Amino acid sequence: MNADDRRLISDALQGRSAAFGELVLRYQDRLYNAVLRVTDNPDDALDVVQDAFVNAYQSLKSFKGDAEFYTWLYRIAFNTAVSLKRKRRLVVSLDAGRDGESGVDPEDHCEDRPGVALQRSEDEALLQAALNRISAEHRIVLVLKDIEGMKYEQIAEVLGVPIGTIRSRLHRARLELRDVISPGSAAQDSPVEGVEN
Amino acid sequence: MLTEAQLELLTAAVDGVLPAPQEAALRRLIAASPEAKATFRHLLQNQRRLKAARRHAAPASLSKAVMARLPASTVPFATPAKPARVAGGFLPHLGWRPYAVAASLFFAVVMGSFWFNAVYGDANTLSAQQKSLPRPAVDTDGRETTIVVAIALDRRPEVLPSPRLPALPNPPTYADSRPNPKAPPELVVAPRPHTYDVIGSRDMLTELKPRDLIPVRLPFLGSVGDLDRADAQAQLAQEMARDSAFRLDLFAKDTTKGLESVVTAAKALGLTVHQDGPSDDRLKRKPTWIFYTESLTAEEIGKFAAELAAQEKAPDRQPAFGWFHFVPAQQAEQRDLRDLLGVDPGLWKKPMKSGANPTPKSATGGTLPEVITTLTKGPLPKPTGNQAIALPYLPHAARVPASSSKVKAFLDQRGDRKVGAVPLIVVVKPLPG
Repeated sequence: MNADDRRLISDALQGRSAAFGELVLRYQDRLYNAVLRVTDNPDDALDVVQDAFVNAYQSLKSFKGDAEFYTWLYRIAFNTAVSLKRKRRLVVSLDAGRDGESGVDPEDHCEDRPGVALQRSEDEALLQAALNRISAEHRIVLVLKDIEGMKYEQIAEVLGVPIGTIRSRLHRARLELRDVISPGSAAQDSPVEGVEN
Repeated sequence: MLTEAQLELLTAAVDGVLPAPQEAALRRLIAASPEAKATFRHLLQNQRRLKAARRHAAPASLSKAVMARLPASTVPFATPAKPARVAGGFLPHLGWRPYAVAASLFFAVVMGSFWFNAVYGDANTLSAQQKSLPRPAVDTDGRETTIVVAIALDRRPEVLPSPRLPALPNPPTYADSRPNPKAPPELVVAPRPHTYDVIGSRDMLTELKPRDLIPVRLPFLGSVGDLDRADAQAQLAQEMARDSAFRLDLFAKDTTKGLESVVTAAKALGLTVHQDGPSDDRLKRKPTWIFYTESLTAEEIGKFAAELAAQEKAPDRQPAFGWFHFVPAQQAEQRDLRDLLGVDPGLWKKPMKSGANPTPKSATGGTLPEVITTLTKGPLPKPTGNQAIALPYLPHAARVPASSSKVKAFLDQRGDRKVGAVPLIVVVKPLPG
């Protein structure tokens, strides 16, 4: 765990809630992005992230500091998402993906060229729709590995399962994603390093 | 159609966790299979898309919303409650502490006394004994005359020589038998504690004595696929330097396929494998197999293990095994082999040294039976060495009789054990569960 996080947690435990506010600011974007990819619903993602931070605050004393703070936060968030899903049957809305619609806004407002922006937003929509069609268990490992760039060990820590399970889940997740993204889709023709055409 | 193992190789490559040998296998696979190449490209492109996916920022109101909810939540740093007082009793506000301090002091005093007696007990006895001895006499010049006293460190008083000063005309001298009277009393060195080997437990048959050291030797466990690694090879060699016969347990989903791997590895080392199997179809399903050879040296067993690992990792076939145990052979294996082969395999028999003459036999010894056999069955095969045998081991009903032609062929051709050969029993057993 990095020194800044340690200091902020220590301050928060001593009653300075502003320190916890700084932790929220530090990790809210990252956590929101990951949860949104999993839930595919901005409102649900917002609820889950808020609940996760509040739960983290309430359990801050039990945080041992032997892992990174954000992996602990992710764990709380994904547990919260699963709980929310059980309660409301809304969080992981697989039906939205099956209809080909996505709750994630695919538009990239930062793009200058309209053609590129359109292409990219199509790719985004295609990707999110594909993610929505695979199982939540597989979606989470793909999000953590490829979007969040976590290592096997960190994913295992977040999900509380052995590394071997993570390997096999990732293997099945990649195959499942391959099956739902057709080979002839938009970004499919771009060359890939290491594989000669 | 790609196999599951090939798909695993491809997805592991996408994850970027492929070790060097598997990377070579991946390149071969992609070069050989257009389907594998297309799949790999597809997987990589999906990964690239995920990595390039736009990151969504949290709404600006999120942190405010979280902070607004915090005061309503339980404060984690609430002032700790004061410990409850114990009503009544001696110094109730101190609780258990005085008792703990008193107990600690008592314990320290007892242990100190024990230690003091243990260390200085002999010295005190010595002082008392010295006091009982005569003081040095003083000669006419006022100089002290040296009295050499032999003192034994035995506490039994009768061992000490009793001085008889009045009987001596001169200052007595108690001669010490040792050349240097100032030398310290001779110490008796305790015998070195015997070391027992729990795994190679023939030593355990002897009686354990108090304070004997028992270093526990654990079996060498690992994954069959790792047996070609340098550290695994080094550990195998280390294990084999400690005993003379070994058992290798291999756990396989399909024991018959597992045995095929073992036989293939053995043949790669030039062994001739005599294999017999159960005739009953019901018993052919997943029996436990035993493979025995006494033709491999420790170094060759290392190569055999590496060959097994290479087969495990071959991209064109499914792994046959999971884990292995490598342990010294026991009497039980010797008995089982004797039952299976009909003769004592002599697992711990020392091999005949090269050039050593065998016990001379009479010129006619065994000639008549050989002539009869030659006339009836043709000439006996000459021992060629490098033999191995694979037989069903368990259940007992699956075993073949020791009179089996394969067993006879193995026994006829195995010859004398060569120098440096290490008997090896490989047991291919089904995975538990």
